[in-house]
Amino acid sequence: MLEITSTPLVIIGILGTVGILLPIISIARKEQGSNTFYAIIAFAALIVSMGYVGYQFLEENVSPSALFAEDVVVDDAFGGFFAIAMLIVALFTTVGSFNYMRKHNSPAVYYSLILLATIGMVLVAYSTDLVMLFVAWELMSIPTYILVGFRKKNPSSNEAALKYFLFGALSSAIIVYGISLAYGLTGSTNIGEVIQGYSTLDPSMLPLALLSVGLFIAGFGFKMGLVPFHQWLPDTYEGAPAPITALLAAATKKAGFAATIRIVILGMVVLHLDWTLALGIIAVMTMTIGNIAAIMQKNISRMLAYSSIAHAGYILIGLAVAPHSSLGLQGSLYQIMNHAVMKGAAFIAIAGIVTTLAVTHIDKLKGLGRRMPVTALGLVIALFALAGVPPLSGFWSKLMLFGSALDAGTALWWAPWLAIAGVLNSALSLAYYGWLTRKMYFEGETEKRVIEPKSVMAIMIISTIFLVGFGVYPEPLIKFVELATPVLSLGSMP
Amino acid sequence: MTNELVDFTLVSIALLAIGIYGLAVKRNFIRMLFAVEIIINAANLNLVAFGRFIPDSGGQTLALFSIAIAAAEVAVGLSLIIVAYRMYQNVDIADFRSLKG
Amino acid sequence: MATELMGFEIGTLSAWLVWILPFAAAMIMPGIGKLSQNATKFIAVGFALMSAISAATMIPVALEAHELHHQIMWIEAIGLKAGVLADPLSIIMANVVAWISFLIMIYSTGYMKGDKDITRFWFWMMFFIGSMQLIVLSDNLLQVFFGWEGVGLASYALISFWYRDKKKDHVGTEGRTVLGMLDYYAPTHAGMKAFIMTKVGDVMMIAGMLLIFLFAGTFGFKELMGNTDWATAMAAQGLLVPAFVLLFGGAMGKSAQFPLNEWLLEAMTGPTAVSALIHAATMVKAGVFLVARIGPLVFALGAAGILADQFFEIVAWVGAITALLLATQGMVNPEIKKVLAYSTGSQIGYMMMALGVAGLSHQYVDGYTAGFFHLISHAMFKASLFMAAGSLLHIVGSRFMTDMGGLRKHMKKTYAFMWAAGLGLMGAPFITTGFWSKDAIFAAVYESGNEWALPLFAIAVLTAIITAFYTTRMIGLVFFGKKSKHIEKMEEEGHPIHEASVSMWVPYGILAVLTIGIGIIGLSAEEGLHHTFEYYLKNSFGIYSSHAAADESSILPEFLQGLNPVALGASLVAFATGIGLGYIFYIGRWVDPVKFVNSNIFFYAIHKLFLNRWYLNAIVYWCFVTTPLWLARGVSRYFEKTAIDYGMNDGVQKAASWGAKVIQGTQTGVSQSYLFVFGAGLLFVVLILLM
Repeated sequence: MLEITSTPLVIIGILGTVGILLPIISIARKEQGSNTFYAIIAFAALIVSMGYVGYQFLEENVSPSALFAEDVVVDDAFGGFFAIAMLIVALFTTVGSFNYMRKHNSPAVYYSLILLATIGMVLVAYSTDLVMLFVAWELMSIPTYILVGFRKKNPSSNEAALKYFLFGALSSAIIVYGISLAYGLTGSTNIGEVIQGYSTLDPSMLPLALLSVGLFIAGFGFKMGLVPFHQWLPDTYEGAPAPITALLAAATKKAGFAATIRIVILGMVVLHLDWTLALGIIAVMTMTIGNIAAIMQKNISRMLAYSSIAHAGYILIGLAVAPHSSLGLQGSLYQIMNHAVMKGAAFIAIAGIVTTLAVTHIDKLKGLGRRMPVTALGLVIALFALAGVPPLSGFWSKLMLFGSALDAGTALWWAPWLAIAGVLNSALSLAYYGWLTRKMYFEGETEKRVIEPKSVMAIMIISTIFLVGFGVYPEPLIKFVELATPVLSLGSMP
Repeated sequence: MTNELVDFTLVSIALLAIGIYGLAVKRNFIRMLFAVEIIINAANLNLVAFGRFIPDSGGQTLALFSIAIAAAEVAVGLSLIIVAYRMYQNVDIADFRSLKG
Repeated sequence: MATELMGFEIGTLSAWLVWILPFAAAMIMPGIGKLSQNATKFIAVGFALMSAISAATMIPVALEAHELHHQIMWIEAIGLKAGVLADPLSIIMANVVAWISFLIMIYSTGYMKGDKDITRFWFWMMFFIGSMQLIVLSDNLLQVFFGWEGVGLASYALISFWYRDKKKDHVGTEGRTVLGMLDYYAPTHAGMKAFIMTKVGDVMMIAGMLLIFLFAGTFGFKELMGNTDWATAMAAQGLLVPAFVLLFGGAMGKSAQFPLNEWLLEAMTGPTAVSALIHAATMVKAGVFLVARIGPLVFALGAAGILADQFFEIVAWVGAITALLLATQGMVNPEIKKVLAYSTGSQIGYMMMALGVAGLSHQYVDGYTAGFFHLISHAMFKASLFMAAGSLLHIVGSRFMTDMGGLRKHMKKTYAFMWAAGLGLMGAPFITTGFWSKDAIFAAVYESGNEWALPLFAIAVLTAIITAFYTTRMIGLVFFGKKSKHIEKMEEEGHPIHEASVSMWVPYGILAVLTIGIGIIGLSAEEGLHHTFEYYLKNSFGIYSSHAAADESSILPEFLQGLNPVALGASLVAFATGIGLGYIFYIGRWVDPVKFVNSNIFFYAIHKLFLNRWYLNAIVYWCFVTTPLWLARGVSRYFEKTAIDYGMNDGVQKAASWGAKVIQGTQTGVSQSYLFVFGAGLLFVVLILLM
């Protein structure tokens, strides 16, 4: 049984209470205005949750990454790792919204929705039961539909929300259908028992089992932005309020990966079934299409949206080769943590640019280095980290991912090609990141410095310290990733 | 017993097919929302039917959760549609295409 | 050294602090600068002092010929460790660097007063010192390389510190050309030049480093010495000497040794405090230090039968050529800082020569001590000279010596200190450190018993004569004779010449006094250093020195026992000749040097050759800048535009943009089409799974 002090329950307690109280407070106060007040409460709640997760890790109260458990949630290092990544992004979003929300109504609801969505994401990572997973998944999704459409008077925000909603609803329908099949085949909703049930399945039922896995891949793939389930993503990222884009790109996407690792990857290893090829093909398609489409973009949000698709492809490399290389999952987790910080910071930088300068067209970003020096520098560092330039943190995770692909080459003849595709794609991505950097620093002459939002600057500084610090000294992060990576073997069955 | 299960499953698959058909051919956003709901209901039917034959309450529980969540989802979806309708006087999905490329 | 603090031995902690403190200061500097520009100087000086004190606490370790080695895991995944290695060599070096930097920092508070970019200045200065100490105290080549690059970066930023390229910050004479190349450089150009030229060395260095790593699997100095199988393997493939020479390439770049010497002169565009730091404490000494770091290793390998003598021959000859080449140019240059710059290059050449011949002789410790002793004494008098020159520039407002003259009555302190430090540079007998260290080099070269001993010795003596001459010339031009027109004009305008401020003259005063003070006890100082290094080399590298019985029949008086009479005589003669010639032309002014040069076509040609820097700079520019640019233009015009642009580049670009267009085309914005793709994707995944 889970104790009341276990991390997921405490997070639900803190964030849930605050998330529900915020709108009540705003009704009680009979006023809308002070955005800062609610932001600070939400910020405090997130910090406390984050502190609790960190404290549990420091006290070593966290059980090693468990693949399966009897309960619906498990308080393990894997979930804790994702919880930290998601809470970082939620913090970024909250802080990044300080300025953004000044011009919008009902801040209490806004921050409350962010907190509720955060609970959902964190629970997805912790859950070991399909029912729990589904509920958490919806708890994450539904608030984000509203958040994307939060600018009620703005047509593109609304259009983004509609598209996001349509695909979100479809994907949850698909996931439920997958769950129903799994339940019907194995008689249980516990992930461990489902996978064990699959391994002793009557061969005639196998196609149905595979259909359910396919449905899971598609359903989770929608959140991860895998090609070909990605098409809603650029539209939504472009139309959504910029801080929310950070939340979508950096956090909810990661929940998709957490769920995929919990179900699909573990199942794949336990069942000795070769789904690697499917994932490998999707990985290459995702990287390539994301990067190529990003090259010609004129809207910076859209460009980063495509780059975020491409990054899902990189992360998928590690998942695809996970059964054959111990580095695979580690590389993926490492990239997930890095990507959360890099993408989070990049989108918050865009939020800062949008609020102060009201531009998103790349040609209008000329001379940004002079106009908003701190934001521009933070953005550039995040971009180069995304491209995997040493000595930034993104370099090590990409190195580990591509290394895992090479490592798996002994078992899968095509695995090294994943690494080659990854390296080529990184080079390709450097082209548009470099182009953006050139626009910001080497073009335009007369621009004057403007006042940058302090909250955005704070995030830029933190992300820069993270990326440069763990780039120069990656040891602690690698240790953390190793701790959080589940060991893939049959011995870990319940 | 088994025959009954097959019956339920057939209905479920039929519902799934109707949902997919609806998504594929309808352009009215509300109808598409219905189509998605039908798919979810197909899944719910599955769950309840399987739960009937499996000595376990998991299926029924999930079905209940799923129905409640679907209701919440529909509420959000309809509110988005209302906002869209106020702006465009129209809920044709093909008209929402300013974001592309 | 049993005292412990936070689990560190005190000495070990100091070794870390010495280089971490300056970096820490650099990191907080921008923040401090935001709060108060005024506070930055206190931070800078304070941290420099703390770093120097940390260095000083390690001195007992050096005196006991002890060794502190402390490592922490850096990147465990590839077994890389970071560490500090505090042995006598690095401790002495760290102290020289730390204390001289500290004095230069004090000087800078006066020199840079009122500059509005002062925060940037302090940031880079602290960064510079930190990087240098990182080189000195690190225990492996990779970490050295990090410091190495840091030093390069800081020097680039500082040389082009006055990036607005105002006329007064240029070096060279406006409009003068050599072989069609302008001999007139802006600060930004100079910074870039220094950066690129030292980069050439850096590339060689990293190649050498990686070559060694390939065989040894480690970058650590101790590890390299601990197990020498790698050297045997490399020697068997003939790669040992190339690897070491490549490493030396890095040292050549940083220490401005021939043929990578030309950047040093243009580096004078930086603020004078920077020049002092580059020349006395940080940048150019890094190369010498590297050679002193790896030299014993190479020698020990040689003693173990893995010969790498060519390495030492190359070091010695590069040093000798540089020493002479740059000294000759120093004789004729009209700019005071450039004269000093030439002299630095030439003195570094001496050090390299000493470290090189050390490896060719049987008494490794003699040459090693001589080279290092010269490094220390040079650091003191050169820092002093540079700071004094900076004062002159500051007050006179011109970099040309011809714009000075007759200053001895107005700037008495500077005058006295420049003489003291200048005498150190000239090697004035028995009372200056410069004399003893130079004499030690002469003796080491003379006694090395190598086939090259005599030619090298001749070059060394000739260079010493020239050194004494140009130093006298500098002092004569600046302080003697009549006041120049420039000064008269200044006085008319109401800017009388006055002494420099206290914060400026105190630092170079201290160093000038030290030059003489340590000079008086120079012989015993040298012997102390000799002993320390003897133990060091014995303990760490197993290099024993056979003590030849003291030459009983020495003709020298009691207090000079143990010196080589030939070397001693040669240095006395060189000093006398140089200062004598200088006195005739520039102090006594019995002969007008201009007329003298023009009197005779031979002298005229030589003068011109020297003034035009042996045409080396122009040749470097022709070969590596102008011609490649011209070729590049040609290539671009005839090849790139046709074959590459229309063929490959356009092709690739078109393909990419076509791909992007296709993908963008699929992104119609219509949800229905997305749904179809989604469905098709689902089918695809299920099909693959079913396969």
